[in-house]
Amino acid sequence: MASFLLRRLLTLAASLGVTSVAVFFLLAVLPGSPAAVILGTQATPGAVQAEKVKLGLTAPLWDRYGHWIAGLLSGNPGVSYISQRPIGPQIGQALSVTGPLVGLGLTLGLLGGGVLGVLAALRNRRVSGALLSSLGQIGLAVPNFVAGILLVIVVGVKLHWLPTGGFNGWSQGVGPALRQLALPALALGIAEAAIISRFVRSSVVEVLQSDFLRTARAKGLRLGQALVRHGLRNAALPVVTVLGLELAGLLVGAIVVEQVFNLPGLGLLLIDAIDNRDIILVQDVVMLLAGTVLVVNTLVDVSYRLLDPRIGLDA
Amino acid sequence: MSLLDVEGLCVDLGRVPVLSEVSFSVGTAERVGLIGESGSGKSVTALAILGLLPASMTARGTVRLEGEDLLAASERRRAQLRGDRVAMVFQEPTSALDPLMRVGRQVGEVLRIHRGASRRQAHAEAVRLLGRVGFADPEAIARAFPHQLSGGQRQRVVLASAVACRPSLVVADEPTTALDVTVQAQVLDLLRHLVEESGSALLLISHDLAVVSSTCERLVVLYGGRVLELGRTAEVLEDPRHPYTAGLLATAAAVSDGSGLRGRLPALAGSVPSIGAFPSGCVYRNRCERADEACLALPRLESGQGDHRFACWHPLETGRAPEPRTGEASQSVVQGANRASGEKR
Repeated sequence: MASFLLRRLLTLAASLGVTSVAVFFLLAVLPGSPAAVILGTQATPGAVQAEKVKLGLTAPLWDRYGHWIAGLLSGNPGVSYISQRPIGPQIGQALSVTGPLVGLGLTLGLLGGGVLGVLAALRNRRVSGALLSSLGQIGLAVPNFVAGILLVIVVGVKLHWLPTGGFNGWSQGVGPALRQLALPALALGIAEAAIISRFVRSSVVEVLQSDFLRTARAKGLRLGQALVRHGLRNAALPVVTVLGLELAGLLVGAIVVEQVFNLPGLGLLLIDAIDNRDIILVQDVVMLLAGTVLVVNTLVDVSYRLLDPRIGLDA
Repeated sequence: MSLLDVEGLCVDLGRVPVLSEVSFSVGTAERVGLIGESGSGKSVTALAILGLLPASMTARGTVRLEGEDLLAASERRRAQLRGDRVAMVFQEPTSALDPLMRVGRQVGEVLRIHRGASRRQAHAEAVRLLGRVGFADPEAIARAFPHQLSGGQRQRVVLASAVACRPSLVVADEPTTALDVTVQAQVLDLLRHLVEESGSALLLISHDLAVVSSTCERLVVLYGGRVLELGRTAEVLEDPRHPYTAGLLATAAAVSDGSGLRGRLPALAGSVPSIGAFPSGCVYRNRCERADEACLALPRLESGQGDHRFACWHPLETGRAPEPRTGEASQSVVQGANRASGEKR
């Protein structure tokens, strides 16, 4: 167990290291410079060069990389080139929007996808099951920003049930804040539910045909009871694996959905930073996103082994 | 009234008949063998009795357990009876157990369902049952997961949970087929021992004549979803009246007495048609040497001596086996059967 965890942690650290190198050097070779953005279009090349020196952008790449990493490791993500404000609080602020948004989207996706998938599996090879499956297909085919715009038009503009965009922070109270996040979370959750429902469906269909479920019924459990006591846990195993992978898609989805609903989250922060060539802010946000995906996938890997006794923790 | 009365059981897969007019009975604490090649409808019979047929299949007729018609009963009622009054042992012990649940809990689960046992009571009883099926360290086995056990051990676990509630009937569908030859006999002995101990009747389903004949008091020969012959084991084996039964005996004998090793193994001509492709009239007529125009009509189960019955227009004469060698051979299977049951007593 210990050696497995140690190896997973080492793998995680190595992955994070490689990711940071990739993020840093890919951004470093991109054209454009924050110095040019700060000085505007009228600046002379000489002034831009001087500004670059002032910002520390002329230092050797490896030094700048080392400086950035050392800062990250000590919990200091640096200072924005453009606004000259520390990045830490900005990211914290954005996370207070994006974190709950992704969390809600994932929860909706899991609930919706789970229920839809189990129902579709139970109605396998019947008309109602096919309808449920095609509902999933539609959810899969509609991009989340389209779903978002449709939700804004129908639920927000026509029905006036929920606010259509913007976010005024958690200080306004949990209720109003959740109301503002409801539609974006739904837009994220629909696509997620569609994807998850497909995995849940095939997983449950397989479990329904399994011998051990038949054994459970032969012991006197009715189908529903057998499914709850024996089926769902077995069916959940493959879905857990997918969840780790889905998180990456969910983060990307959140960035797009934040644009549609004009939410001041990581997406808005990232896109502004790219527009401004605020390279260090871009590095930090991208690193945060990539790091989250890596950490969650490691957690999934570990939890998978806790869920399934057949995969030893020593392996 | 018998413990289990199957009468005119028909199972259809869509419009295709899988079982037709299957009738037989099992008495209290009696051991009955259901025998036939694969595709004959043995497993479907078992599932129909338990009410576990796949949704694509529909059953008609009556299946009475202790007088109660199971086919007419609600699913709720059938679930109450399953595991409690009638238990099932499946062919594949490997996949029959939940891979994520400790073995002890799976054995104790039946008691929690039907006896309202607490978690602790169920565990204690599970350990006791695991001891009864021959595990030296039942506590450790109870804590194990199925993948940590061998095939034979898993089937012992399945047997333990099958007899947990002392059911009046245990249906065992090829319980030893998936096992190593070396543990087949052990598991079969254990099964016989357990049903005897708990006073349960046994419906043993197998394609293996030796397995069935050494265990069961009566035999039902199934082919093409129909009962071709049934009666007391000794009578059916010594004096088979249906050509199909005689053919089965000849092949089994050649294997068991080694005579087959010296020449070609006798085999039943042709192969079992797929479901729905059996001929009209006598289902065996396209493989039968004795078939003629009479066989175009469906033969009914005719009474022979005692409760020995067979469905054939041209039955073998009583007391005479079809070929000399088959005659000797079937004798040796019977002797083998007697030997096996003698050892047990």
